[in-house]
Amino acid sequence: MSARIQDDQRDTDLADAPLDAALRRVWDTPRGVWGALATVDHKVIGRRYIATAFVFLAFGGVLALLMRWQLARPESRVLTPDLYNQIFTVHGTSMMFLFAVPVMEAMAVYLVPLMVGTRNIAFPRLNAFSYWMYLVGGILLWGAFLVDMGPDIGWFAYVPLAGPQYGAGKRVDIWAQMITFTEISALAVAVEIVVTVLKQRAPGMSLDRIPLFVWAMLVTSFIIIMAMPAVMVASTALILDRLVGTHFFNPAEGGDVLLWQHLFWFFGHPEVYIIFLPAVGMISSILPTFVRRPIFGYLPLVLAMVSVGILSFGLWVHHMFTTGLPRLGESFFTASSMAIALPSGIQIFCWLATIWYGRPVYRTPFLFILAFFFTFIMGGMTGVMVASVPLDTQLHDSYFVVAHFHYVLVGGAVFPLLGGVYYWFPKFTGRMMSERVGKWVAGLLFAAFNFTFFPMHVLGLLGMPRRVYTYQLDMGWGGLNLFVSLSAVVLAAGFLLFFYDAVRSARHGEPAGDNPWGAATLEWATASPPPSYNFARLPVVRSANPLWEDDGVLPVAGGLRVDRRELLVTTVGGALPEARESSPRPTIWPLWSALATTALLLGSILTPWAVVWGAVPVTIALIGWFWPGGRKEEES
Amino acid sequence: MTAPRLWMGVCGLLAAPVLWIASVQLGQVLPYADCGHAWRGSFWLPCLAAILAVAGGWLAWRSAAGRRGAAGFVLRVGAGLAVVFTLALLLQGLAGWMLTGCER
Repeated sequence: MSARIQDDQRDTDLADAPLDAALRRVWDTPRGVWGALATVDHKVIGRRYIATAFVFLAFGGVLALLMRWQLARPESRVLTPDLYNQIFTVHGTSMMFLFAVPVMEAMAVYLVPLMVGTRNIAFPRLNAFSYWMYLVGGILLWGAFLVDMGPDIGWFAYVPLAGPQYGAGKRVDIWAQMITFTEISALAVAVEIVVTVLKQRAPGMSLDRIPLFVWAMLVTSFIIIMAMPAVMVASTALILDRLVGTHFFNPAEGGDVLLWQHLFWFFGHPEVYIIFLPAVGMISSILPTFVRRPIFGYLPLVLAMVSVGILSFGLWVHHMFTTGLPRLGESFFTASSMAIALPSGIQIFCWLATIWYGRPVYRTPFLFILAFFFTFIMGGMTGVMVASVPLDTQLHDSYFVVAHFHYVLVGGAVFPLLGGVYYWFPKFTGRMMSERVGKWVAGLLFAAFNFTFFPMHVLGLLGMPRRVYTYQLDMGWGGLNLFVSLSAVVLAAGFLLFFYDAVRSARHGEPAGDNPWGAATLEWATASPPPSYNFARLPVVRSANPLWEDDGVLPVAGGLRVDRRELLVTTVGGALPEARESSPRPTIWPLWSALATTALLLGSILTPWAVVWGAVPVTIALIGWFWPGGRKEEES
Repeated sequence: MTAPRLWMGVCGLLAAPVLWIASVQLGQVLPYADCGHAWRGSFWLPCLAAILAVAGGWLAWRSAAGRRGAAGFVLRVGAGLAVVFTLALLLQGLAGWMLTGCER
């Protein structure tokens, strides 16, 4: 066999070693700074996304500790009221826009192409662009905060507080443009995932054989595509009100302050499910591995995810029950909020049945799932409570709500995510995380989380409002607040231990091997960490648990060229091969495009003319990006 | 299975969610029309939508009968969606039955 690869040579012509060498030649990211900036490998970008999101989690966590320090005692003066306002705003904004949504999408950026058996994500240059945009959005928010220009309006930026009349300076504009950065990024990833799942699945992976994490990410991506434009429109209208003098939210000139709340929560409530559904997918993918049996109720679980995805668009007004809307209209949203408990219950019972009929192995990822069950069900039940108009009217803007949404978000998303990190860490790095430390992490986080947030229900029922920077001694909230603050320190210690374990294991963990858990899905059919081309020969799928069938020996598809980046396009329903398509090579243009877009968006905080003049470099960068390479794009 | 039959199934799959979305939107408008009138659209329209959703679900279920693979899977999911959204619509109808539309 000649070492030189001829034009149009196919993988079927090569043995394993020459095939590996040929594929590395075309798929490997170039070394050095240029390679790092130009990479379009979904695994490299996915790892960056995950690491960056966890950095923002740590930053947001530090802010939470500062808040708890301030609230530990009545009439405390640790923080000024202004700094406290900035801190709770940047904490919420970081956790929602810079951690929770991006980290779930990041896991998908890394895992979905591997789980569907393809060589790269669809639109890989867009993927690179999305990461740079996300990074700049995060730097913008935190850079502003560090120079005392952090937004101070809450993560929801209600008008008129955020409008030109009450929100002087540029703090609100920074929040609004940070939204633009992160939403562009999220929308880009969502589009990539939809196309990857619908058109790049391995041959034979029909819709009823897709891994449930992939189903979850498909539904999540559609929610993102439909929900996020609402907040982008809202934040753009807010900037226009502040910068150009429009009156979208000014009632005196025919605008409407409630329009902001409608637009924000039309995005904001689906956002909860944008964070939660990937966790559902993670649990559904992790659980079978640790109970040694296929998931119980594949179809009901898919049905539940699709139902939740659609129903999530009919719940937004339950954030607005105290705004004076007609009670009957509000009751429609109570109805939807109650109805969404049905598919959520289906999910829980399918998982319980899977455990019931299986043989559980109590490893760290499974422990996080058990922690999820208790915590999320608690959060779900208080969610049904605050979906009731009379009860919500009493509890609105109290610490009861703070407790509720932390139970939903941390219990429903962060615990499964940490379980997912322990589960997929061997695939990311080729090394195992420590089982002993992992059990400590799971135990510490579960106990400390409940000690921190359960008393907040009681504080809310005692009347403590959200977002107050202090309270008086005679309110009687001091004891519980001190307990909450001390528990928060233990919670932080749990996260610190997790970070320590991740960093240590990445260098010194036990080597993992390809499939250390004996799992069933395709990402475990390749090396750990996977090579740049993911699969030397594309797998062919004949069941929903391909590695548990046929003694784990996968049939493979052949015929792809090895002299260029090539992947297989398949049909939407049955995943029948349709075409061979080239996949883009590394390029610096997504970075230039992101920088040009950054200049435009940052400039528009100061002057509307930045949109006009900033469009020139953006256009140049996009022309460079899309300049034809003279290659034949697709062969059927 | 014939193409029209398959399309009937797909319509069934989509009917319940679309009807529910329409009902949610109407729920923001109808209270103003209902208040002070005997018409009670906030009760009748979700109930009518629920009946149509059941019909759509039945179509999807019938179309799925004997059908394996991806198409049968999607149609069965559609029939299940009809059940979930029928419940959601009936809960909305219940709200329309209990309230007059004048409450603020």
